[in-house]
Amino acid sequence: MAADRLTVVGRAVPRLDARDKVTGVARYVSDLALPGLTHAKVWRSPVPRARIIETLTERAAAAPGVLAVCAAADLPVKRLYFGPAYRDQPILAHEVIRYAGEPVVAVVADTERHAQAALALVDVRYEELPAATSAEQALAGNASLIHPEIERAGHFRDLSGLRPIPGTNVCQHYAYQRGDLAHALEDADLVVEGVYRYPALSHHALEPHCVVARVDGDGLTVWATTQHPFPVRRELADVFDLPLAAVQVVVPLIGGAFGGKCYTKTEPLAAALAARVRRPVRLALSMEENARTITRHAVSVVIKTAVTRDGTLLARECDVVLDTGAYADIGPRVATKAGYRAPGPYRIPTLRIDAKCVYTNNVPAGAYRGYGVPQVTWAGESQMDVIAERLGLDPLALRLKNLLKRGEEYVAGDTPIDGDLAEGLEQTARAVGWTAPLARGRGRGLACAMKDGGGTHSTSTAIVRINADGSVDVLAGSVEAGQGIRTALAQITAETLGVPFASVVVAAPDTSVTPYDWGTSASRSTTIMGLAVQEAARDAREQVLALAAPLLDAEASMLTIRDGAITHGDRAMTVAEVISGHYGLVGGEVTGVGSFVPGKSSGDGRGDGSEIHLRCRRRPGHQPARVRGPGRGRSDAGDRPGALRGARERRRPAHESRADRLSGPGVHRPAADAGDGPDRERRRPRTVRRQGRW
Amino acid sequence: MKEIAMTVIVNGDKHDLTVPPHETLIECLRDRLGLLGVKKSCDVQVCGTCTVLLDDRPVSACTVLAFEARGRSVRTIEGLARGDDLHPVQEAFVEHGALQCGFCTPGMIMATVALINENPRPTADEVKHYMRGNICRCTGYKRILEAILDASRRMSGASAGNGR
Repeated sequence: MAADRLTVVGRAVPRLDARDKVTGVARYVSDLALPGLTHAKVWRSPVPRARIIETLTERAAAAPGVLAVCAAADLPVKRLYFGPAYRDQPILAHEVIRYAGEPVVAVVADTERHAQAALALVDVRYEELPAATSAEQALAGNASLIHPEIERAGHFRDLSGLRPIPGTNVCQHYAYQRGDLAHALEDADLVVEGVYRYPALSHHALEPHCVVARVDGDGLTVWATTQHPFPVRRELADVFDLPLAAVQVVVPLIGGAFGGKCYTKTEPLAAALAARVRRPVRLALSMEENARTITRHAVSVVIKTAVTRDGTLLARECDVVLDTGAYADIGPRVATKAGYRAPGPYRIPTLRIDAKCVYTNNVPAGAYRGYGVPQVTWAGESQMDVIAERLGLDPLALRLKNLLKRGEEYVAGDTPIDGDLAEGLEQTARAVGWTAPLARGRGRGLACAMKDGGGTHSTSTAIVRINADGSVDVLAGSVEAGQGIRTALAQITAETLGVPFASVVVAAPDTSVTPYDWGTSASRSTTIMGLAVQEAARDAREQVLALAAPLLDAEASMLTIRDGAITHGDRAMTVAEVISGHYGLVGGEVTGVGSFVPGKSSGDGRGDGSEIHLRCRRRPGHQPARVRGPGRGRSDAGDRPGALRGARERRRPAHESRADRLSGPGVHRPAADAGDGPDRERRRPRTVRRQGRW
Repeated sequence: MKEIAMTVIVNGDKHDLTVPPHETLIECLRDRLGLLGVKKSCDVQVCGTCTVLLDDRPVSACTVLAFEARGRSVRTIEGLARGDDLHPVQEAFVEHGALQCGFCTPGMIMATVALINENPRPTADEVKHYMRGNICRCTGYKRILEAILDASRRMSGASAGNGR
């Protein structure tokens, strides 16, 4: 279908959920209530590392309204430990405490207030132990092992090659090298070296993690604020030793995610408590508890770059250390991605990259917009500015000189760059008036980063059902976290089927209803799930046309659906008439199935596609401009899936846009006097004064 | 614990309630009256997500005690639209795409209604200043700002009765 003939995709349509969200009708997990609902609260460790001596729960258990007080040993589970990369995280701390804020005891009561009040009566006796509260401490020779043994989870194919360093706190080690480093350093006119530190951050999605769990004769049902309903189902099945079909994970609207709701978090605890009290349990974290559940990795980057006098990059060395906290979560993959992306979108013949994911006694760190990109970009792009200053070059010209061109390889064997990065950067420079004189007290800077395409190694499946009245249900497991995925999938369906946009309804993810999806992360859904939905809609359309052909005395191949009707010569039938004509007057439906499976499409299962994300600040207090590589992906509009067009034309997943952004509108910049040279300077990004900025 | 009898007008409806002294307004609105459009987020009066109007002034329902609304009028997001007719601020938020996850949206809209009530034609800087107590983590604020300015234009262009 030619792009200029698209009627729904590529056009601005109102978000399907906009009206519900402005009227207060929209329902989130934290709005859910069930008959007999009980409430859980968690006693958390005040110390980062300790040995648990004794847990005294009798007084709490006798408090008003309390139904159960559980330590780890009291949970009715088959497996206490969970985690997407390693099964290293206990549902409640068992024998040892590994971070301040770790859940140790849970109280279930008839009301939230009763549960909260009973927490004060929980008495945990412990022996505090010396803790490693930084990656440096955890890497020191005398550091205790936070996990003497770790078991691989085996959930994700790309994590089958995890490389921990035995006998250390390193749970993943990524290394990459090419070229002759010593030679390159010798040839250089300038070598710049620096240490850049990036602090841990909280995702601060406005809806804190919330789970409602119910156990009944059919098994376990969990309503959860998760971006990964199917991986959560798998982990719950492991924890309770249930078949997948006995575990149902439902995800209504969720109030922001940003990676903080990736993978399993508090779902096993809520489910175990529901199994224990045999009543539905709601576990709603406070915002403070949220910040003690998951963070973005604190990272230190030691980076050294060798250049010639004219600004040609010769070599880059990068040692990245990620503090993944007490439990790995998805940190090993973040470390791998941080290492892979550390060179930036530049042509650098010689590289030595080393990335380590390190256990510490801090709050666990996991996925957060960009998977390591913000941290390594802060270092690399800061250094580009230092190089420009030292060589007396324009920072824009220095970047343009070294940016990879379309068709050039980033890493040998991976899909080459397929966007025009330089044009994107130039557009950005124009947008911020790069060459215009600066007013007094104003600064101006630009930076670029590269993120390899998201999620092409993963599977999505979808079902498109055309009902007897012509209305359409889309069953897709993509989570609506604000990115507008339901609207995008409805557009794709309406476009492919040839039915009105308003006739399409996209269901909420429900593992017992919607078919398998790997998860809503890595900017993958509009592209990967979009392709699955497109295929399902094509399948349904072909079935409808096959039913219509005899009714219209035509070959199915000659027919098409437009605006819900099929016309042949002077005869026309609506989709509804075709379906009810086939099945009888009242019922029936046509069901189309589609999937994206790595390797099945022309995608090769590797990350593909590249784009630059450029964030500039004109002056303090203004929103940073954001310009994308031309012809790539979507605009910043939440729900205009231009990505579909790119994907369709190339049959390769393009990037989806929004979730790739760096973490909110704040821009981290080096100090104005950022130096370089052999005496390494330690720099921290300036703290953004609040999570957002008006 | 002695409970407090109170009468409160919520979205135009009179309620006779008996509440414990520690009950917060957000608990009262959500758990007692089922007004789930009032969202709980930080619970410490930082994020503005639970903003409601108390006698037309914006307050954080998480840190106002329910009995403080005694004899007063509360308006929540549920009380803005008239049937199928959205309030002009709601319309502007939809048309400008000024929402994503939507969790901040009820509070953002209620704060906007209060702003325009106090200052019918605010400048962009005045909007930014007034709305500093409302956090959005998705949008980057640009479209919210556009929606607020547009809503103020529409409402000042309409007759006084449409301000609601």
